Amino acid sequence: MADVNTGDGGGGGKHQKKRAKKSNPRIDMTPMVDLAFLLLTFFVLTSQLNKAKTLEMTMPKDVKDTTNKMKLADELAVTLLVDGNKDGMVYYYSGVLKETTTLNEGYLDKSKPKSMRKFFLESNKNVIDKMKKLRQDFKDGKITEDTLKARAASKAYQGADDAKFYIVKWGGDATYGDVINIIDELKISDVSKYALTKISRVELEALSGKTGRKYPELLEPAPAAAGGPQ
Amino acid sequence: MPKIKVAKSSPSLDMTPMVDLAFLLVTFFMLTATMRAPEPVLVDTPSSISETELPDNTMLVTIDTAGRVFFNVDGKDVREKMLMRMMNKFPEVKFTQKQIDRFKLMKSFGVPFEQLPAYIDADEVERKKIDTQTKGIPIDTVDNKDQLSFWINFGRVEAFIWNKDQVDNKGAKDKPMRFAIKCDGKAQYRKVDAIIELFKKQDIFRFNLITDLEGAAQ
Repeated sequence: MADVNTGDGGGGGKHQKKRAKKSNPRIDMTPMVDLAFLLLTFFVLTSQLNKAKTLEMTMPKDVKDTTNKMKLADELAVTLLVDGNKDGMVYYYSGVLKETTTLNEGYLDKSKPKSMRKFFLESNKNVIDKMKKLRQDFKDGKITEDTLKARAASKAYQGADDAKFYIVKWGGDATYGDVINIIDELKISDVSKYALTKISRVELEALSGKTGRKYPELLEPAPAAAGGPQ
Repeated sequence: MPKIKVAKSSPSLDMTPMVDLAFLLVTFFMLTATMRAPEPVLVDTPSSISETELPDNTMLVTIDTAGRVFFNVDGKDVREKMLMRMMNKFPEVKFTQKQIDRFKLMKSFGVPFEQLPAYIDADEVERKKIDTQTKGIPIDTVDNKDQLSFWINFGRVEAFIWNKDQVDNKGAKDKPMRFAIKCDGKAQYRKVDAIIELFKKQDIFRFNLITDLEGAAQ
């Protein structure tokens, strides 16, 4: 493969007289191309895999002063309880937790009929429909990408007064994966108003009554359920 | 009638432009690619649909399944100055100049400060051994043993000074330090929360949680 093509017919050997060889300056470049493309493939693949993707999170500052706390209408609050159970189940309730409140359950696995995905798609329908229309407008070329982004972040869409506010509360053996999964489900359903906080003792007790699980840790009372949206 | 001569054409092509192109692309990808940093622990991050890329100039806290904490800051100069500050804080731990130089080129580490000189001196095999045995960087808030907070604080201050110097004197783009958390999906969330609380104490509220792109994991 890697021989140099000198281009002389090979008949030079018969003559005794030394003659300057007429050499063809062409070199077979095939192996070099092979090598170049091998390297190319390698770098393309590794550089693509290298880019770490991240989920941006903004946590609220803990403040003792409650005068400036965000007001949240009870009927718009949806609390999601993540306790890290083996079934991949999340419990949720709307409004304020009372004695009579029933804890609903949904699976993180979207292929199951009672999945959280389905619940979010239904409960956040207002915003999702608006976003769908907005994206369609963008696809049809009616608005630019900047307008799309600006509008998507605007109050009329995400901060709309009728948009639900989701409070993710973790406790028990909740793993990092569980929490990220539920936040990811929220993102898929175009939810931008959500907060992440520790579960409160009252909720843990209610959860324990529902599931019959004993949660080992005695958690401190969580700060009131409000925080900056993402 | 004379015979029609069939032109003898050589089947070889001139590949020079192709080689040129290929090497141009190779050079491009070589220069743009950032080599994957050797990780002290294998961390299986959960997946999400987020496509935001991890920015340069980050402070990275890695948490493995057992909740052990590893720490990394980008930038040689920042690392050196950060280590200097740590040495002032813990004067009982001694470093040689050679160890400081090696530390500048290192990546994530997860040993208490007292063991750091030995970890720097260790070769690859020994480091792996230490990585499997270490308990990670201490984060206990009792008796001022919370070394991670010091690392975060010093790293952040030095990164700020470095960035300011770059912008003011070298006309570089403003690249404030970002804070990333890379955690195993199976790790308990309360371990992550403990780290986030440490950050919050230093008025750091924005994080980049490293995830796999959805679908890539399956």
